[in-house]
Amino acid sequence: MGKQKQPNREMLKGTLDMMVLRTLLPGDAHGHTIAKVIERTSEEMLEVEQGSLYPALHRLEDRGWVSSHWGASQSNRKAKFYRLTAAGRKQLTSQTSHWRQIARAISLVMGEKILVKAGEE
Amino acid sequence: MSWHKFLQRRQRDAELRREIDFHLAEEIEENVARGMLPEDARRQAYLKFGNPVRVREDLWEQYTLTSLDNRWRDLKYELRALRRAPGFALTAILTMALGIGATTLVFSVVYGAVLNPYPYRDANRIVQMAFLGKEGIRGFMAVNAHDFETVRRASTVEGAMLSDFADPITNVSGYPEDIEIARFSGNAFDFLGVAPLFGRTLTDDDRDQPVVVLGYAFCQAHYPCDQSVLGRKLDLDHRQFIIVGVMPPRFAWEDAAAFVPLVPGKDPDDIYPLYLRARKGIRAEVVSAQMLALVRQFVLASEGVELPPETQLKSIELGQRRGGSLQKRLKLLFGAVSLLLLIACANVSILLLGRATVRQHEFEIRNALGASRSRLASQLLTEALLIALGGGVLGIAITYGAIAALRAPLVKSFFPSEAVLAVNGWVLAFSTALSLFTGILFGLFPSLQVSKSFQGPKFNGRFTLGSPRGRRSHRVLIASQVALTLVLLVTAGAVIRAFIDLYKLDLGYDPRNVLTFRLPIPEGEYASWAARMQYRKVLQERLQQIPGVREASVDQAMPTGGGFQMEYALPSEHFGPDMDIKMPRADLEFVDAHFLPSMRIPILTGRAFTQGEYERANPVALINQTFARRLFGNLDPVGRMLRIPPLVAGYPGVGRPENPQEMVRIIGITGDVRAAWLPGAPPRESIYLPESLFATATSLRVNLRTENDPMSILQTARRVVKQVNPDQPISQARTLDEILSEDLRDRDRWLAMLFSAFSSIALFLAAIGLYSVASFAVTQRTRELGVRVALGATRRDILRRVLLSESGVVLSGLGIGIGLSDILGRLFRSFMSMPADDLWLLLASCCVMLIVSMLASYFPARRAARIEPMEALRTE
Repeated sequence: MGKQKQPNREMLKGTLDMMVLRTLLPGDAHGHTIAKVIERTSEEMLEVEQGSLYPALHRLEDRGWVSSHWGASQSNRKAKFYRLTAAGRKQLTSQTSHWRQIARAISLVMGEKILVKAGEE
Repeated sequence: MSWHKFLQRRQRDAELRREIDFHLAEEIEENVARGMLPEDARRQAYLKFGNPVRVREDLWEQYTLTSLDNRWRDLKYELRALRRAPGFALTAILTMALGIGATTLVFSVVYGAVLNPYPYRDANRIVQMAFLGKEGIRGFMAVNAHDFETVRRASTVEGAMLSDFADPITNVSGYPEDIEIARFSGNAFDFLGVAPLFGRTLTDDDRDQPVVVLGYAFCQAHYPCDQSVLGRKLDLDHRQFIIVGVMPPRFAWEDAAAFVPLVPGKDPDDIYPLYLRARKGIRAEVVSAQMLALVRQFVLASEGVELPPETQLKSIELGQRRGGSLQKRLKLLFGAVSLLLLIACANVSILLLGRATVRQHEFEIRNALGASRSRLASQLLTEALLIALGGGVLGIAITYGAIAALRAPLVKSFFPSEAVLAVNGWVLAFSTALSLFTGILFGLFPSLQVSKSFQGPKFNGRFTLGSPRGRRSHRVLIASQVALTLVLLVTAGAVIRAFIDLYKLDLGYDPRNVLTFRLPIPEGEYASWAARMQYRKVLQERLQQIPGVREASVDQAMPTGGGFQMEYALPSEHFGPDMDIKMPRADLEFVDAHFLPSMRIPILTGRAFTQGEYERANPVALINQTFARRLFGNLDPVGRMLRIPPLVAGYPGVGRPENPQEMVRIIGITGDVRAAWLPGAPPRESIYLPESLFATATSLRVNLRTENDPMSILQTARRVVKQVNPDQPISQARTLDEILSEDLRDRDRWLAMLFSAFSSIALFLAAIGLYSVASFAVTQRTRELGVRVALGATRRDILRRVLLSESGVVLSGLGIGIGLSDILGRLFRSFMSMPADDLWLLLASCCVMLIVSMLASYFPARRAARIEPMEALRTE
């Protein structure tokens, strides 16, 4: 099966994890909110594959980067809220800087113009 | 992946489901808010989310220990598979149960008798120091009160105690009898480190107060054995001892009935047997070297003489005084049972291999569906482990049963009194480990075979048993099984023959119809030589007159147990001064004029001493043939002199005639007497002397040769003795035959019985193995045989073909077996007296093996011969 696809998925997983952590930075949120926030802030460019969101959340919880608790949502339903932990914050910082380096490296390779252009717009 | 998550995965899944439900509800609500129809809103939400079940499965997998889960699935699968093949499962499990059960039984005997026989603290470091002579142990180190203190403080020694024995007369059974008790120095109980069952033990403070601690068996036999026994009195030699404690059942020190204080006397000549505990980590030789140095020092200080330089001291562990024959026997037994276990393993391997072949199709399909080779192999291994564990459980049940049935005789013949035969934690652990080990052992072969068979080109629907590789492993297994079985048969045969030889052994005397008992004489009575001689004379005359008694001897000798091991010397004029015998020892047998004729010990040359010579205490002697030959070679010993220092030594409790002399004249040569428990050992060296030269006033031994059943005389004999002296106890009344079979032959009988049981099981297992191989072969070759029949082969051709197909393997197995038995036989003989190589035995074993293997393949062959060609061709 998907031996060749494996690295791709890994990379995606990593970025999804980072974005989830970033979304939780302002405050606790439940799965649905997290998906919505990522979609909106990316101007609907990134559509979260909702199916993979939940395994990701559980994975992050296993690693101790987020914690969870059950609470009431705005619609007054019972929902599981996730909160960034101290370890998660640290992880977010290191992942963000890592991401920046990669993004910069890629943009250097692709030519600064694109970056400048993007910046101008 | 942690266990924690693994165990919580159900709960986690429920939580996730709630979470997903919430998510979808939110999404639907949002969609409705955007103006979608409820139905569409729902559909869109699900489309966007994807399949919730898939998400849950993902997470479930994340939380799963894959390998463990696979093992569990294998287990369930194989359990189902075994249930579908009950014949196979039953055969395999029973085979293992027999193997593991037998091994566990022997292990529990080894554990009880060798590994942990004694309840005493650090019992493996408790030793006695033995002086070694040419023929083994000459005596044990004993010390006086002063030297004891020195020994206790020696650097290689952690502690020491003194203990000797006494046989006081008591009335506890209602009539006078002597009991064997141990005298313990004040620190002995502390040294041995066993707490009393109730009451207290003896301490230094008891000095020589009349207090006694009872052994459990004695307490059980004579009292209601509980707290109430404390404070009661026990009469020992007319002295009232107060019972202060009772020891637990395992505290059976030298089978003593009870324990009284031993207070070492002030006299430096009062010496007592010494027991030591070696310091931890100090080698036995170091301890004995230090003790020897001390002994030299003691002897020099007290007697002013140097100990001869060649004096040797050796530490002897508890229970090793009679040599390690028990250990050797058990080793032999353990070897045999290990062979049995190997045979059982080979058998199950064969069965598994055959079964794997039958299941080839199944494996093929599973392989096609994605099961990896290792997965299939591990599944076979799981099957093997299941069988082994099933066999282990059943085997433990067999052990329990066998121990319950055999406890009494086994304990009596293999165990020191302290040891316990039981299935305990260690035994269970052993058999569990054994099951796992054997499971892997016999599972590995077939599972490797299967995984190998997948390496080749893709299957073409042919079964591998027909393939050279499958056949080869079958052949190897069968051949080794046959070889091992043959070895076991030969060994068992040798053991059984050794046992029969033991029965047929010419002991040099006639043990049939002899009643023997001991007459302990109360201390102080018949102390003078004349009184003691008179007492014996009356007893002998009265006992002789009992109807049914042919001959009565009343003296100090018994043919089964050597008499006093004492020193003698030859006058130097016979041999010159360079004689290497300085202080040799021989069995000194003090007998009356009736002993030799009543035991039917023949006089070869010369003559016996007469009643008159006996009564006058003439210094005459008879020696046995082997001894005579060793001492005098071809010279005629009759008329020559022997010097026997103990005759004039003046031991306490021994009456001497007036003018005792140490020189005795040899007047005759007797036949040899052999020790029944050492077949093949040289005859003892005995000197028969008139008992009147050395009239001990401590006890007499009565031997009555009777016309019929000796035990029927016992009541009359008791009455007769009572008439002579109403206070005279009678103890150890038994027949010589009984003594020989119970004490000396039983162990070998049980060894022989266990061996024959093991070898029969082995033969049976080998037959099953051969049978299953032959049946498989027939099944696999159905088509081929069908074609042969179709082409005109007669049934006899087919029968012969199948019958002979395994014969090559069987024959090579026999060849290997003969070689192995030769090697092992030499090994066995090196530590156990066994008859030398016996060609007939080997031939007989081979024949048995051949017949059994022919029978085992006959039934499948007959089935093959009945094959209908049309049916056969349709089978595939």
